[in-house]
Amino acid sequence: MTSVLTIRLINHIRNKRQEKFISKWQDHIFDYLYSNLNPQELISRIPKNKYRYLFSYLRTFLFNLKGDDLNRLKQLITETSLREYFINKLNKHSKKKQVEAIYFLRFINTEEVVDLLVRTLKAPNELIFRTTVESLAYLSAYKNINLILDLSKKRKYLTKESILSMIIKFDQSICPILTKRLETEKSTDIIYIIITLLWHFKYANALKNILNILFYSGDKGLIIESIRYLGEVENLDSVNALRFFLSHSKPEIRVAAIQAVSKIGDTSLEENIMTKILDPELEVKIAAAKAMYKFSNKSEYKLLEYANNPSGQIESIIAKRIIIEKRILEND
Amino acid sequence: MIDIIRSIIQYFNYFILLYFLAIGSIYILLSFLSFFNLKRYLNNQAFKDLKDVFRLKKYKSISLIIPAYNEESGIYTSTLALLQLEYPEYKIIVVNDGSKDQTLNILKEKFDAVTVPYLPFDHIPTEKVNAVYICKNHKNLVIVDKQNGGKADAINVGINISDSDLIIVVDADSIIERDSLLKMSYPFVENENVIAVGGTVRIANGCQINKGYVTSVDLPKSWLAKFQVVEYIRAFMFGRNGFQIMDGILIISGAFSCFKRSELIKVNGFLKDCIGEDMEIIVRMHRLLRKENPKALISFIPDPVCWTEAPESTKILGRQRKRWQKGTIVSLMLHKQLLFNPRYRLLGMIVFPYFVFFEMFGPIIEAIGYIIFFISLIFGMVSLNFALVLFSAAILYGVVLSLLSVILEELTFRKYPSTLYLIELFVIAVLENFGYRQLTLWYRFVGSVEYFFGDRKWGHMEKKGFSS
Repeated sequence: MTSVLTIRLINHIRNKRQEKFISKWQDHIFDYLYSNLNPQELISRIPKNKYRYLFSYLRTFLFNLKGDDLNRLKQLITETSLREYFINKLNKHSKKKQVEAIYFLRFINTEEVVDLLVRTLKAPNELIFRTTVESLAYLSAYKNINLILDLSKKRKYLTKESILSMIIKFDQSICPILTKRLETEKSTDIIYIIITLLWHFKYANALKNILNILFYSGDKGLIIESIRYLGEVENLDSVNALRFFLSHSKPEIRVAAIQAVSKIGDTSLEENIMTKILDPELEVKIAAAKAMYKFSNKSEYKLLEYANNPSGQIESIIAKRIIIEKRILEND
Repeated sequence: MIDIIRSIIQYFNYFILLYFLAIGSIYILLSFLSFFNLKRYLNNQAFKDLKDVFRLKKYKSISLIIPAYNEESGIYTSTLALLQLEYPEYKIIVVNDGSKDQTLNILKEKFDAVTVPYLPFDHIPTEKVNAVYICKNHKNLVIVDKQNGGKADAINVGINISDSDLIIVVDADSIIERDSLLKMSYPFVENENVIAVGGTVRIANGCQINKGYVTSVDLPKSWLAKFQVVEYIRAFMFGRNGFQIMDGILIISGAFSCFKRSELIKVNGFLKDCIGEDMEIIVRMHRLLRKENPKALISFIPDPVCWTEAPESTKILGRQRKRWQKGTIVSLMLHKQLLFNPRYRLLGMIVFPYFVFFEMFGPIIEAIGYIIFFISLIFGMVSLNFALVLFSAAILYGVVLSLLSVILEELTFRKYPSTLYLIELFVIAVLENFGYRQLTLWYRFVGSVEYFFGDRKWGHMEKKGFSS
């Protein structure tokens, strides 16, 4: 019990110190934000043993501030002795301290820091790797994307989704490099990640490469992901490809194709979509009915016809359901 | 003859001593594993912004399924609270399982429900669906009325109706933390091999609850509920956390659990008429889905995400524990192929055997052990030293573990902010080993006996409900 009460006491003291730090320094930091005060001047006034509280305070604002305020706040890290402080911390043994340093280094956009972070990428620890990738993304160090993908492939603890959730933090500058990589990449997981990223950034220039994968890959996941990409790129080639996949033997692929067509809204595929409500699979029928609603006047009229058909056939039930649902949603 | 009986009793006493030492040591080991697992989890969380998932549109759609049977007293408040959770795309499916009270009418009236045609998805066979309603004032609320078929059947109807990526099953009287969907869905976003996730459940008795949310964490007044507070902390902090490291989560609380919908359909949903369907589905998912994908993972979130009401009378506690014990036995018996099966690695070689030996047979061994020990003590068959060693193994180990769990709670989530509560938790952690533990052991023993000798009924659990 003594140990727990001691832990509680330590936490209590820490919280009090944090509060005291904020009450003492908050005004100084705000004054700094809206004045021409030299950032180093402010940092040198804060004792080093209070840095723990400073960083925790800064993190909240780095998350929430924008524009000039954010840039001014960043100067506290980039143009002061804190910069060296974090660089030195990268070499500490404690993983927690390393991660903290990597996190704050993302605000210092220099070649030196990018190089340091790239070196840190080779660390085997998952949290360090992940934070480093995220910091590189924040710094838009997109040229390192191939290295990140290569290292990710070697790390067995990283799954497709976890690699994706790190790399998605980059901006669309990575797209040309990723598109080029599609020409040589052999790993299905990496191809999947790349297609998802290209879809996410709506990068139209990868269409040829994606069509290539679509027609030559037998992998269901890759085909569905590629079709989803086509839904973002309106082009004659993608419309023709979608026309083909609307009749694919696998229902999941037909559903993906219907959804992509519905997104593009190309009326040349109107008839193809309307016939899909007669598909033998229920999920394909539903996807088709959803697409028919407001796709074109003709398709909507056809959907209403199905809905008003008193036969009690499944197509009529689906049409009724979709129309009621959509209308209620529209009255929102 | 007497000598033979005497030596049998003595050997049995040694066996019981070994049993207590083994279970205590396993728990100590689990506590260490849990400590490192929690530390890693909290370090990972420290620099993670969960809301990034929204910004990057990488979230998975969720359907919350609430099976409701005679829940007229609380269904409106709990549904309303669930409608205010923080998540960009989620649907609530309340499945009225042929209630005899006003559950359905209350839902229809309060939420302005409109009948829509039922799309007959039959991924999983269920009882007949009478009607499906969507709500004009809450677009993401679906109400389903079906013929009575039990909790598992009601959940299966919800799975059939849902078109979301993830399914969360919530008890109608569970109180959910506002950001719990985000926390529960995150493991799925990060790892495509995750097929189910469980979260930590805490006791809500005594807490202040406002509009379906816990606003202040307090300890209950009833001693029985207080003991359960420590018991729950121990079970979730040690048991689930420790087993997770071995990839051996065998139970996810039925009060709040999250699944990948496609995987639930693959295993044909929850098992109808099964006692303890929440444990059975997890064991079955391990058994069937790991064959297909050896990396399939059932994960656990140590964050407290859900609050539930604990029984405050021995009668209801007894029913609950007997039911849990029967559920454990059913789940283990149905999937006995996992026992010492190297294909399932640590799960098959360590976790499953642990559950069979210590959870399934444990109550029987312990109860008989206590009886024989007292008989041998009365007839002078054991020395005082041996009695002290056995007492230490049985009781003091328990005290140490309960105290360790309170320490771990203080080191991690600190849900009980008042120092007075903390001191009280310590007192409870010691006292629960003198009477409460033996009481629950007795209920589990009776549950085992009832199971093996014919009475496999569910047993109804009455709840008082929370006052807001």
